[in-house]
Amino acid sequence: MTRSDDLFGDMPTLPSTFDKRDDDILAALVSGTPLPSDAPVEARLVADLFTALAGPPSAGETAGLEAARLAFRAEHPGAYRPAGYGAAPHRVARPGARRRPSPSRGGGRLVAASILGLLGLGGVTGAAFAGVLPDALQTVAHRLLGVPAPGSTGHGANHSSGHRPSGSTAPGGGSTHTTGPDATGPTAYGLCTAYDRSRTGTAGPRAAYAHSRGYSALVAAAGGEAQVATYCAAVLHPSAGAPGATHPAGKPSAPGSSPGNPAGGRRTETGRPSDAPTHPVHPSHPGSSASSSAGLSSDPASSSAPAAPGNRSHTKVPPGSSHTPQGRTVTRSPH
Amino acid sequence: MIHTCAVIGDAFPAVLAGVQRGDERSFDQLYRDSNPALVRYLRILDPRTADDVAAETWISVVRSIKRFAGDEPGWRSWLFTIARRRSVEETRRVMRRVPTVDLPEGHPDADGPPVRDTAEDALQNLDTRAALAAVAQLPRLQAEVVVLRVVAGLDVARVAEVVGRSPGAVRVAAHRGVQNLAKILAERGVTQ
Repeated sequence: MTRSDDLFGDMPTLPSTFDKRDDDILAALVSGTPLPSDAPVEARLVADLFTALAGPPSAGETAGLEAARLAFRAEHPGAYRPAGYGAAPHRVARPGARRRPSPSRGGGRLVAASILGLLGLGGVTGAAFAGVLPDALQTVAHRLLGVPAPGSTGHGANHSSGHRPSGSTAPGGGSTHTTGPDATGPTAYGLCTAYDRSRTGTAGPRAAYAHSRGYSALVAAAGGEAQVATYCAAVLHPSAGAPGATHPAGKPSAPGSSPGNPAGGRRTETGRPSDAPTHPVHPSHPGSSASSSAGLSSDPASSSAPAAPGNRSHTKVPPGSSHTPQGRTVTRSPH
Repeated sequence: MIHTCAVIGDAFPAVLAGVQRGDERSFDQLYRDSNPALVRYLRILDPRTADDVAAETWISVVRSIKRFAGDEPGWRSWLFTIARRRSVEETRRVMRRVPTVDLPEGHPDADGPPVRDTAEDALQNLDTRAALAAVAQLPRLQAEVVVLRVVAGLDVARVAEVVGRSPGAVRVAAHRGVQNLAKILAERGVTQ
């Protein structure tokens, strides 16, 4: 540590247990360098405390890695992953139980397949909607897919409606699954990704998918099995968030996106991130990334994060332009 | 520095570029390097929400890191700034949920929502937990500054950015934090 970086170069004299040797001692404490030989015992205690404070990471402190990877894969759907690298979404690392990459998971590159696993293929879906996934994973599922947030399973009167997927109460929605995902909302992106995957899969998974809640929700939203492909072709990435990005009426009519214009809508193939725009540009913010201009309300990229250097001019969210998966509006209440 | 963030150092630009193009190994490296310090910081801010906020912070990171440009200290400053704002938001949200009915003294919930016992979390090693518990006794800004300096390894200017205070205020807070810790340790006879 350089002198200019020391803690207290311009400090007024404060009552101190370290007296006149404050500067050297405090600098040594914070920088982790050896204390002067005549440092008082208090300084040594603090030094020990700081060493413990910055102690080596425990396994529990990286337990959220699997959940973080899920989010990462969702942002990089086409990225190459070495065979066997990565992990199944439901095998969340537990503290003290670091798992190994499984060689049988050769299809790690099926990015949103992780999400698919949550949504479309049975058991884990139920677990997510019942709110029993580990918190970190539940949080990811909440942000990406619209399942209940961690801690939201005890439905109080004031947020039961907020956290229940709206498909369960939408009149005329036609959903036969009261706890299934709402394919007319932002969740549609994940559901459609699952749908795309299922069409390239083998017979077994395809049959399983055809009976999944995710597919049922899609059929309901699209207005029939024959319409699913058309419906999905127009579904935008949730972070696009433009008006019309979702289909409340179940009709693929989003402006700027048509089945023949994938650049304006959801990518159905796994192009390299550098080859294709990940998110459509928001019409009202030319030149800005849609993911930062109309993300979820709590996404710091849109509401509170520091802008990346050189990119500070796009943090406003158009009022009413997007909704969280639960239907809450993005505008934050003043307080 | 003795901070928990293992410094990636010369490899940082390559790791960042890897993350930005979707390389999962690079992402793992960045996560393993940064998350322990992140979780410790978040526990100082609010132990109730630390784990959730850490998860949400990473979601935010993967969404916006393509637009990040900077060196390793800049990355950590960016990360901790996101995390701090997230934590503030989340704590507000939790507080709004807390019932405002006055409960009779002695009621199990009279002291507000249960704060998760870090001792039961086993998230940190025992020494680290004890140290965090001692730091958590400091006034908020002092505790933040100590953790950001010592655990995250941020310099004064970066800490000032993260906490939104002047460098002078950060220096004062660090100074007083260290003095208060010395008092706490001396009075309690706490040993590591």
